[in-house]
Amino acid sequence: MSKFSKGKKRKDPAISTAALPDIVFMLLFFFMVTTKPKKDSSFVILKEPQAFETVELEKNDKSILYWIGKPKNPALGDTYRVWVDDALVESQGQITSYLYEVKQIPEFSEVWYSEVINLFKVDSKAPMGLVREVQEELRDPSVEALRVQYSVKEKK
Amino acid sequence: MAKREIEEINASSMADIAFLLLVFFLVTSTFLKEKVQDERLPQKTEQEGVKLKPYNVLTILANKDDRILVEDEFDINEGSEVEEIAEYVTKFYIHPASESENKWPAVYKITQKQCEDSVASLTVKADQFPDNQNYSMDLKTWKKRLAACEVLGGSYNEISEKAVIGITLDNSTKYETYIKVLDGILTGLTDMRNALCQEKFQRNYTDLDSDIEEEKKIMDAIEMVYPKRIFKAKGIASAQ
Repeated sequence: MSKFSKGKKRKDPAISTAALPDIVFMLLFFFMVTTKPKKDSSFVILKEPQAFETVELEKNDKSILYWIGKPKNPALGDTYRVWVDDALVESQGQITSYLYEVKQIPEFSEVWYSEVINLFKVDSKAPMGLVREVQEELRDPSVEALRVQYSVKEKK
Repeated sequence: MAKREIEEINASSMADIAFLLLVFFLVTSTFLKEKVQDERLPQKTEQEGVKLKPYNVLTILANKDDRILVEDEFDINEGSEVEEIAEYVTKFYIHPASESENKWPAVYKITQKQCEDSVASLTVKADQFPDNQNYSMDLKTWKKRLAACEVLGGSYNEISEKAVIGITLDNSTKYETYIKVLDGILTGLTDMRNALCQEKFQRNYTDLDSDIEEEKKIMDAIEMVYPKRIFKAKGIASAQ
């Protein structure tokens, strides 16, 4: 009989799973605390109008965003301004030239007329004249971004 | 008497409970989907300033004070704009034959026979004159009509191609007023489409899925009967 051999085979001690619930709860709480709905834009004051008849916005990464509203930053004044894809529009024709650039990107140009959506997020009280001015730039023959959607809140 | 040791509570199933909770919330939670209204801007190259017969246009006018006027005479009450506009939109598409071409646009009965004949004769013409765009365009339209006839069981009523809903806005009309007008038009259209779909297929138009071929055909047919033709006029049109 060797010195090191054991008489009986000893059983491995079971790993304690007592801490597992704590870990899972921690995960649960982490996600509960950190998830929050996407916040509205940080640069524009926006209250969207309500509508009964709506369609759901399809998942789409090929959309161009237009914001029209009063700026949150008081340095920008108190009039309605336009932002396109988070950039403030400073001059006329800027939207057309921006769209023209986007249209040159292959992924966009392939589906320009079928899938690219111009999503408008406009404040309820914004004047239609301004919206129309923006849309006139979309209609420019060099870009022809014609598919427009207006973001609204659903009225029940 | 010896004190009995308190038995430890078995906590191993706690993990299962917690996992169950976690999975439940993971599966059931959905992201808030954004709601939108669709519009298609007209091309710039499209003819502008075409003369339209008054009965072919449902004019909806919103002035700078956000008052809405339909057909230059019916004042829309504040608070029920959507319902009232929807009513006028319904009348525009569905009305007694006696009121066609004097108050409201003409509505034509399209039969399958008519479609087949037109498709046949236009196919010949389009082959003969491949340069003439009109023939191929007409052929396309008649093919769509034929498809609609087949889906809707032989015949259907179609509103005149010239009929449009025109929205006239002032530059200082508020955006929310425009959305109300748009909402009214869409509500009217959807109600009519749903009613037709219920009558023919016992289900709602809004429940159809455009990814399924059969349902897409039904959708196309119903859109032929009640087409969405909206145009936005520039500024307030002066009275004649």
